[in-house]
Amino acid sequence: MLEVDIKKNLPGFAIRASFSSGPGVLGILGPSGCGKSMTLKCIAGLVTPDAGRIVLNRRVLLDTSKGINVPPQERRVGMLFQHYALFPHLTVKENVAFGLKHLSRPSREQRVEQLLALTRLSDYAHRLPHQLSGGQQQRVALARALAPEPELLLLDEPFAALDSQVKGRLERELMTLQPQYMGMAVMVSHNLEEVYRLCSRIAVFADGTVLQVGDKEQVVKRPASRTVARIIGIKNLFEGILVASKAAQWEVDVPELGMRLKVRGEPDAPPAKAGGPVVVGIRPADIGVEMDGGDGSPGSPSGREISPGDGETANSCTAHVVQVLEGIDRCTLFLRVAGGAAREDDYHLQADLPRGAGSCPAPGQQCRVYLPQDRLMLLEDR
Amino acid sequence: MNKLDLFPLMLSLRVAGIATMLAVLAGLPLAWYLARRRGRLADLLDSLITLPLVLPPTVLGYYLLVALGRQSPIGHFLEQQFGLTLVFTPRGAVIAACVASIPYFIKSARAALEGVDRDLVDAARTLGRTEGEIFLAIIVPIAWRGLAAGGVLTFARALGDFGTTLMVAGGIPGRTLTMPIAIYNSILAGDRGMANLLVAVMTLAALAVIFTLNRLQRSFIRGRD
Repeated sequence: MLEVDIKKNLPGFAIRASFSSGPGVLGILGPSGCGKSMTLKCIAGLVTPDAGRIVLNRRVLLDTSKGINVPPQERRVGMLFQHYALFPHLTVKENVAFGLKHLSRPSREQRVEQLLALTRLSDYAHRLPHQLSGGQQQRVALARALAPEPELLLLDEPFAALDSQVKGRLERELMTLQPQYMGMAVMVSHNLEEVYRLCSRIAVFADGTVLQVGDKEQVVKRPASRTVARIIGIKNLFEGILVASKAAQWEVDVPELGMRLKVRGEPDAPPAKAGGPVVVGIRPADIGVEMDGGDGSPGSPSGREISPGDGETANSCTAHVVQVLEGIDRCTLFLRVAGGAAREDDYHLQADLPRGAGSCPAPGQQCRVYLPQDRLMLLEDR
Repeated sequence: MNKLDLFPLMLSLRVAGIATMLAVLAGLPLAWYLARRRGRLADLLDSLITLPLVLPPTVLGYYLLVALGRQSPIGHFLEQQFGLTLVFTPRGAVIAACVASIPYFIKSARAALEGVDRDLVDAARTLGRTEGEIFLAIIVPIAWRGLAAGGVLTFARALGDFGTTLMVAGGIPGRTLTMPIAIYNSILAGDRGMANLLVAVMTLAALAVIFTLNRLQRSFIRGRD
C-alpha cells in the first residue's frame, strides 16, 4: 500500500499530489511537464517535497511535520528512468549487480544470473550499454531496478524512447513480470493507450494536481471533469445547458451543434441542476456516421450501426466532411454539422471510423451523424 | 660549455608531480562542491579559486611569502610545533606551484563533474549505494576524461611556474633552483649554450609527460564514444 500526499513549489507551477495505490500498477497520466516525473522523484526520495507525507507498506518514508525523510538508499523503492540511466562504463552484469552490494559474492552472482535469465540478457552479460539496442538497454535497466527486490517500482515514461515494435514486446514482458516480481508499481506516461493497457488504476494529472484517481474503467468511462475528459482522449466536448432531467435520462441544449441531445447515464445526479451549464462529451470512436449514397454499398466504411430503436431523429443530424485523416486501420473525419454555430475551428465533430477494406470518405461528402445516448457523457465544466 | 646539471630538471618534475597530487586531492572536493551548489558562498569560492589565474605570479608569490614566512602566524606556528620552514625550501616551491596551478584542475574538474548525468547519480542512490561509493564508482570514472585533462594542465602549469616559485622558494642552486629559474639564470649569465640545452630538455620533458598522460587517459575510457 502506497499513500502519497505532497506539496512542492517549483518555478512556474506547484505540485499538489495526493493519491494512494494498492497492489498492481497505478498509471499517472497527464500531459508533458505537469509534474508527473517530479512526483515520482519525490516518492523515490530524490527530491524532497516542501511538505507532505509518503507511506509505503506502513513504513513512513516522509513526514515533514515529524521531520522524517528516509534517504533514497533506504526506501526500497526501485526506479526505471526514461532514458534508462545505465552506467556507461560498467558491463550489463556490473550494472545489474550495482544494487546488490549487501549480498555475499556467491549469492550476488546467483541473483544477477537469475535476473539476466529472466530478462533474456544472459548472452549480453559482458557487453557495455552502448553496445545494446534500446530494448535491451531497457531490459538491463529493469533487471537492475528489480535486483534489490524493491517494495515499489517506479517507471518514468518507460516506453517513450522506443520504437513501436520493441515497445509492444516489452509491454508484454512487463505484464508477465509484474505480478511476480514487482508487486506494486507506479508508472508515469502521457500515453493513454499505454496506461490503459498496463495499469489497473489511473491517476489523471494536470498542472501538478491529481484531478481524478480510480479504477481505469471508471476513469475512462466516467471522467470527473472537462479537463480529465480532454486528457483521456474525449476530443468532442461541447458546452450546453441542462434543460430536462428525469431518472438517468437528461436533455441538454447544445447551441454549438444546434441540437438538443438526449443523454442516458448512470443513475446518479447530473453535475448540474436543470437550467445549469454542463459539458457534453463523446469519444471520436463512439460517433455513428453514415455516408449519403454510400449505404449498402460494400466496403464503404461506417461507424456504429444506427439502431432504429433509438428513435429516428434523436441525437442525429446531417453534416459534411471538412477534412479527412487517413490512417491504416481507421479514418478520422472532421465534420461540420449543418445547423451548428460558427466556430474557431472549421469543424464541430471529430469521428473515428474503422476503415475495413474500403477507402475513406472524401472531403465535401454529406453524411448523417448519430450521437448514441449511452455514449454521451455529462461533465462538470472544470 | 658547462656540464649539464640535471638537478633543476629532477627538482622541477618532483615539485610539479607533488603539486599536482596536492591539487587533485584538494581540488576534487572543491570542484564537486562547486559543481553541485549555486549561491553566494559558491560564487565567492569560485572567485577566490580563479584569482591565481588572474593575478601576476609575482603578486601571488608575494602573498604566499607574507602568509607563510617565519614572521607570519602560520609560518611561526609550523616552525615552533613541527620545525617546518616553508619559505626558501623545496616545500615552499611545491606550495607555490600548487597554488598557481590548482585553478586549472578545479575548473576542468568542475566542468567534467557537471557533465555527469544526474539520472545516473539518482539511479545509483535508489540502488542503495552511499554518496561516497557513488562518487568513486560512478562519478569519477565517468568524468575521468575531464579530470585527467585537468591533471595534465595542472602539471604543465606547475612545471613551468617561474614567478611564484621564485618569490616563495628563492631559486637557491642545488636546493630550490627549478628548471625555469635555471633557464633564466643561464641567460642572465650569458651562457646561451646552457640555456638552449635546458630549454630543449624542458620542452622534451613536458612533451613526454603530456603525451604519456594523454595515452593513459585514453586507455582509461571504457564504454564512451
